[in-house]
Amino acid sequence: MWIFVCKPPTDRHPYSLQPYPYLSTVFVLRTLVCSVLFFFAGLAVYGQADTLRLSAWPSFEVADRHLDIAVDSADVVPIERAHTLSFASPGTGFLNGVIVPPATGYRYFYRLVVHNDTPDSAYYFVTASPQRSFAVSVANGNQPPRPAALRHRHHRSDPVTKLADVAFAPGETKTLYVQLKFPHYTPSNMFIWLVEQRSEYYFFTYQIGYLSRQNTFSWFFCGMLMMMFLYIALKYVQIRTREYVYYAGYIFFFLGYFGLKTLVVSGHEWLWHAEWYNGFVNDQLQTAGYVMYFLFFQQFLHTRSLMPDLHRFISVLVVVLPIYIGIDFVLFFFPETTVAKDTLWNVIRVVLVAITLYCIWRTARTRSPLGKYLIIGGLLLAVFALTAMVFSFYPGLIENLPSPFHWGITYFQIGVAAELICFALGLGYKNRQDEIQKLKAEEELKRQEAQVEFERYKTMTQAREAERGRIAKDLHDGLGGMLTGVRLSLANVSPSTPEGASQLRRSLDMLDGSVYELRRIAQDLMPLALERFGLVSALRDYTASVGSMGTVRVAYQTLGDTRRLTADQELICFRLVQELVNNTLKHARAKNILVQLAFQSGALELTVEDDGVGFAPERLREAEGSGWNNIHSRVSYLKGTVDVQSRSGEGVSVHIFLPV
Amino acid sequence: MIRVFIVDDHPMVIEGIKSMLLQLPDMEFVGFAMNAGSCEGYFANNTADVVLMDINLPDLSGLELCPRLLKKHPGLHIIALSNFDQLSYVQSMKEAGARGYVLKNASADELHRAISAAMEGDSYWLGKDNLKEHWASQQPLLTRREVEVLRLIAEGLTNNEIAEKLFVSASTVDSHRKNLISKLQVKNTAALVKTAVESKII
Repeated sequence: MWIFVCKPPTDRHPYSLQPYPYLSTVFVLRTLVCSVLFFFAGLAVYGQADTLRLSAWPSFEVADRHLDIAVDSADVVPIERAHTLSFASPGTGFLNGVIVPPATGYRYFYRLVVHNDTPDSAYYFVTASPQRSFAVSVANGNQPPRPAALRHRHHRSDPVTKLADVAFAPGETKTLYVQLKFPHYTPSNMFIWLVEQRSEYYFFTYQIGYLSRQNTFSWFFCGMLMMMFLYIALKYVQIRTREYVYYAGYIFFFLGYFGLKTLVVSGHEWLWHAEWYNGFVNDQLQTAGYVMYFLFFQQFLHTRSLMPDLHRFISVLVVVLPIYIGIDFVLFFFPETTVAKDTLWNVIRVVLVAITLYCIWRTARTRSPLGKYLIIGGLLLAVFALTAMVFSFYPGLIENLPSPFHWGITYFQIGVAAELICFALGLGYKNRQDEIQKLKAEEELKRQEAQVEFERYKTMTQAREAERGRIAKDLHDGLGGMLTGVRLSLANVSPSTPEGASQLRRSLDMLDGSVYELRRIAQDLMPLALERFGLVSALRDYTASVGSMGTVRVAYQTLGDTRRLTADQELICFRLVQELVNNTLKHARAKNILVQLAFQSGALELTVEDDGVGFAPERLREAEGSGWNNIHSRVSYLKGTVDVQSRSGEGVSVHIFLPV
Repeated sequence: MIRVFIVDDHPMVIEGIKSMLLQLPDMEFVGFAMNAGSCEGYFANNTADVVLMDINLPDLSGLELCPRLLKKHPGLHIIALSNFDQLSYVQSMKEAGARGYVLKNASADELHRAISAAMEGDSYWLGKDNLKEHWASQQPLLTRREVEVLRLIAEGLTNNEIAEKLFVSASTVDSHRKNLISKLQVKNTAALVKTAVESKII
């Protein structure tokens, strides 16, 4: 059985929009897969190196040793540069220190035994960084002091703040206990210095020791950032939307910041000694990241139309911040401005965080569907950053967790990852929205074109039908009337001869034939009964007249409550039946035709069936070009559907469903 | 003598019919009108036995004029005289109260038979005495699609399954089902299947 289903053109245009629901999901899945891949890449490359480095660093295995302090003129540095040089000149080496194990009931200590072998008294102070991690006590004797006796002063991140003064008489040996309060917490590395205070302006520094910890998670994290960066950059090549550039830039600067930080934490001395890193790059990577974030924010949310005031503000900001980066870079070469430079950075850092929060708040108020990605991402980052900060102040809360969760920075990294994934989701969503928008526009265009085509068809058809109606009426009333009149007059002629009589009879027959032909033509052109009596009657006439030709038997039946339709609909229905019956008469060599009209509430079904030769598939396709096109355009004009069923040798059954 | 009045907007037709009538022995031509208005005007003061009435008139159609005339003059015998050979016109004129329907190119004999029939209380419709025969409604036929749907219903398939099978929408299948129910004059689908099996449709 071969069944061919014809759909009218309206069905070929998907007016109900079909968006691509998988796009966003694919986007996120790819990002995640890439991130995971890079986790492993990071593990393979850096995880290995990290382990090696640590195993080669016997930091806490130092035995109790005695070292003299030798004063070397090379260590004399001006005090003004103390801030920046504390990292850069780590001193002459390690003093002896030993970890006192916790079994003694105390915390971890460095015990430093310092001997003054000079003939003069020496004045030193002890300092450490970060200071909240240390407490220092100076004592003579071999027992560590009780914790309560420890002196501790809080001066964050200032390595030259005195934690304890120590005076050495000539030849005196003293034991210093430096307590490491949070052995698990190392934001980058830890330093303990013994600083000689010779005068107000000069001092000597000695690095006593530092801690370095591996953080494989950091490498994973950097790997993820790199993979996201690559992916977004590729995505930009594909999609060419500016927010992808900014987003890639944002990830790039984050990557720089965290990558360098991870190197520092992993104990890459060349980096934490580097002035360019500490004095400039570390801060300015963050600033550049903010610039990219704001640009991304503008582009992603279309703030130009959504929040014009904020848009202008951010536009100014993204010009000001690079200027600041330039100024900072210049100041970097003038060490005397260090304090001012650092202060400026601290102010800007706080302002940037405030502006970011303000942007999130403004976004939340717009209730834009895109905004929620920014808000959720921003809030996640904020929450995790805050968590990291809390843990940095109270490391005891997490010190017993397994690695990497005993690291405060891990939480920050998780926050950043969450934010970036939210942004990626947002981009995916937006991308999908754009696709939908594009699709909608295309749909609209198609719909308009279809509308124009429809109108054109309608106008053309109506004009043609009106013309036909006029001709039919003229034929019928004018010419028909006259022919009839002629016939009637002729009929009254009484011929005098038998030849004349037969001549007259022939003429009358010919006239009858003409009148009959004229009626048929007029009827074909426009069934005048249609307008007067409606579709049901007109089709009854039509089927009767086709049947009266004697070649086929035509059955006509109606179902349901018959009713009048609009003139347009009735004419089209009539034409449909006419076309289908004509097709059958022309091609099918059928004996029977069935025409059925089924009225339903809100719909009319036309069925035309024959028992002729039917369609072979090729024939139908062939026919598609000509007569069927008419049928399709008529049906689609009435927004109906056609169902053609045929099998070679078994006739055709056409079923037309019209919503009327 | 049967008095005949003609309403037609074609002078040639009037002329022709008139001369035809004059040949017939018992017919008398009493007048003509070329539109419905003047026809009604004539019958306000005069009368006739038979009105030969065209359907297409410039002001009112014969379909409207016929009942109006009959309302005022119930004794009139109206016979439609038309160029339309469609049954819908015949049927409508019959419903309008006409007693006969003759085509304009009818022979004098035909015209005579129609007028006589009308006068005798009979009727004449395009040469056929009984319209019913022509209009007779046949036993409803089932379309092939309907038979197919019926078979699938009998197999116990749901609308959706049938729709899937026939590549049509479920609502189309449902309308087929409704048509079947109305054609076989049953109440529900179960009775439909039963009747179909009994009458050997499937």
